[in-house]
Amino acid sequence: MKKKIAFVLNENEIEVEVEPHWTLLHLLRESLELSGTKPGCGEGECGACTVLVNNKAVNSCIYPVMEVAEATVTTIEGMIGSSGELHPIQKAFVERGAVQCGFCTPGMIMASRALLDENPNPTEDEIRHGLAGNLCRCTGYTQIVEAVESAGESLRNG
Amino acid sequence: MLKANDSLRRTVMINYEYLMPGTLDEAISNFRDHTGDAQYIAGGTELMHGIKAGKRRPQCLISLRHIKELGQITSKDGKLRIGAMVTHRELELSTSLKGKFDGLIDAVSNIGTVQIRNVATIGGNLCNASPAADSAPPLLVLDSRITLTGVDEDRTLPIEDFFKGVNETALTDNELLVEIVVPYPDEGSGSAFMKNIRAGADISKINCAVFIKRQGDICQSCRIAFGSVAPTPIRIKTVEAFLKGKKVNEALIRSAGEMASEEIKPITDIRSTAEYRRDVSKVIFRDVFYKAWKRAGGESS
Repeated sequence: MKKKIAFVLNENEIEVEVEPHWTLLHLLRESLELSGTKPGCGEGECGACTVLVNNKAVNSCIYPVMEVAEATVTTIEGMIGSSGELHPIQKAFVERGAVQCGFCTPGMIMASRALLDENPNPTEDEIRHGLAGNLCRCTGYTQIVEAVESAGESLRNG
Repeated sequence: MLKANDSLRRTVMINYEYLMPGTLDEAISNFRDHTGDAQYIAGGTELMHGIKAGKRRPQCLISLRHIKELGQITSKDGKLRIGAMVTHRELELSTSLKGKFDGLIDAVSNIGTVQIRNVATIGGNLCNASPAADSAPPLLVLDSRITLTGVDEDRTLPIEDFFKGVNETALTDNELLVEIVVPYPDEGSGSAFMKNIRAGADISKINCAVFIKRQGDICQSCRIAFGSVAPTPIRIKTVEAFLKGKKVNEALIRSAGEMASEEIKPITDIRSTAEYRRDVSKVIFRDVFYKAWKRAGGESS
């Protein structure tokens, strides 16, 4: 039986009907057709499904949908500014060659956002530790780390 | 014909109710009303995975997330009290733990990934009772007690008595773990934890925690625990007795490591072999001992 939940999604207040057994990922992709968040392993290991709930990075594939009621959710679609400009983290990923097939990228960017929000000037070790929950099969991570460092600098310099 | 194989299991979901009680009484009453087919859900990182893999089929999940008293870290009567629903990430970042419960911080900071730690809870980790549970060895050496509540009376027990076997605890069907109580360690003591893994964000092949009370170069007393080497996380009391009151030097710690490697009962499984675990136990013991030793001496590490 469907339940109604209300929450803030990418800065917009919404109310949706959900089945209590859905995951947050299912709601986002299947119901709201926000396909930017990707299903990877389905087990909470690969991070492709990473979104922010109350500003914290979580694996949406194992996040019970009912728990986003009254919460703030940010997905990759919410990273783009109101003017249509890419977020500095997105810009840095593009400029630093951190995107190859692109499948890990939305999750990487959300995890990077959470990392930089909490720690605006991370060391390389802190970046790698903070992104340990996001697997990439293409890049070997070097360009991703550089992109996060570069994005951190941009954000610190306003 | 479609088989319920790996590629399907991670997306096929079963139907269940999802309740979000606001108090412990409400939660327990919800549980009683659904006898047999309800399960409590903490962070859900383990349970949700189990449901999707077809290992668990609850008809109703009762979330503990909205019960305020379960989510607190407080200090009372000289003891730190950690609510069962406190997340690993909250513990990792907690100023109440830093400098006093470093072994616990070492452990919870490296459970899974940030995404997991933001959601997974210390209570859930303990109740899942994997022999590899990283939060267990530090809580064992810090002499913790846990409080259980349920349809009958509350009870507390030493954490050592909580683990009964692989994924088995002292919880009866009607009980919930509500709190972990950790006494504040004395001055001149320190704790540490390390895990041996294959790559980043991995489940432990072997892990170890040590708590030391130090005076100069004497180990006044210590407590040692290992995980992933027995059906439950275990204390190594023979080595604790061996080290008690002794002057610490390399030869002593090497002997202690040898003794520990003979005490543990590791098996060969998907993560490692018994031989490797025995070999590595000597090394990891030494490394953890010295880390705790330095902290007990007031040096940061």
